[in-house]
Amino acid sequence: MLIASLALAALAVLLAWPVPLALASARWPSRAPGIALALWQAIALGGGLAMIGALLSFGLAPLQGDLGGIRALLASLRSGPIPAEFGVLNIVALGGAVLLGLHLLLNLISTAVQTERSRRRHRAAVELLSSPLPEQPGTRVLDHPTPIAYCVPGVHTVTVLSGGLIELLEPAELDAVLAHERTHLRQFHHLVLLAFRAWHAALPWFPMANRAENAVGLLVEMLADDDARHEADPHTLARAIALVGTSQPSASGELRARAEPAPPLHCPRMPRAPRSASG
Amino acid sequence: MTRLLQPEPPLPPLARLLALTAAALTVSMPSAVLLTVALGVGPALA
Repeated sequence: MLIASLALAALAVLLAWPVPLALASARWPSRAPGIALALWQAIALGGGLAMIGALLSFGLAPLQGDLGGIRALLASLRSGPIPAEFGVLNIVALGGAVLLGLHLLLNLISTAVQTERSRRRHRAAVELLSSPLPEQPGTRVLDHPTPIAYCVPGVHTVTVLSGGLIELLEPAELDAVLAHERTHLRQFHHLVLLAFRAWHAALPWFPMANRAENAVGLLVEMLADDDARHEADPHTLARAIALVGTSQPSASGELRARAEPAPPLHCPRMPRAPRSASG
Repeated sequence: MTRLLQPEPPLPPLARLLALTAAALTVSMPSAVLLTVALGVGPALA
C-alpha cells in the first residue's frame, strides 16, 4: 500500500504540473484536437483519482494489503478506539481523501445544477425575445445588431443567431456558422466544458485548472471547425469567423452587461454572447 | 483561422496510439487502486 501511495503521489504531482504544462505548450494539439481533448480529460480525471488514491492508500498502509482490516477500522471510527497500528498521519490522510473526494463531487454537482438553471433561464429569455429562423429548426433569431451566434444546450437545444449576424453574413457563411454551432451540440462539448469548469471551481487556486479550461475551450472550437468543414467550404467558414470577429458594434457591451454570471461556452472567435449560453 | 485555410497534416497513427495509450494508463492506474480499496470497503460497509 505504501508503494502504491508513493506511486500515486508521484503520478498526482506529474499530472498537476509538468504534464499539463507540456500539453498546454505543445504545438501538435491543433493537428489532433480530439486526442488532445482525451488527454486533457485523462489528466484531470487521473490527477483527481491519483490525489485521492494516494491519500487513501497512505491512510490504509498499516493494513499491509489486508483490506479486511477496513471493517475493523470503520467499526472503531464509530465506537473507538482506533486500532493501534493507525497513526495520526494515516487518519489525517484518510480524512483528506474523503474530504477531497466529496469536495470534487459536490463541486461537479453544484456546477451542473447552476449551469442547468442558468441555461433554463436563458432559454426562456431567448424564447421570449427571439423569433424562429425559417427552415432551420431549433434556431432562433434575436433582434440585436451585434453579430453573435451561440447555442444553448439541454434537452431542447437552441441555436441563437442575432439579426446583426444574419445581415452581415452571406447565406453560405451563415450555414457554415450554423454547422459549427450544431457540431458543439452534437458532440456534447457543453458536458466536457462543464467538467473542466467544475474542476476549476473546485480548485480555483490551482493554475493548471484554469489553463486546462482555456485549452479545452479552444480544442472544442477546433473540433467544431473541423466538423463544420465537412459541410461548408473552409474559406467560407474562415470568412464568416473573420467578419464576425471584426464587426462588433458598441451595443455588444450593453448585451454583455445584462448577461448572467454563468459559464461561457462559446466560440472565442465569435463575439461574446450572453454568458449563460454555449456556442 | 489560419488552421482552417492551411490545414496541418494529421498526427501520425503511431503518435495517436501513444497519446491514447498514455491517456488510458493515466486514468486506469489510479482507478485500479481506488477499485481495490472500494472492493475492500464495500463488504465492510455492508
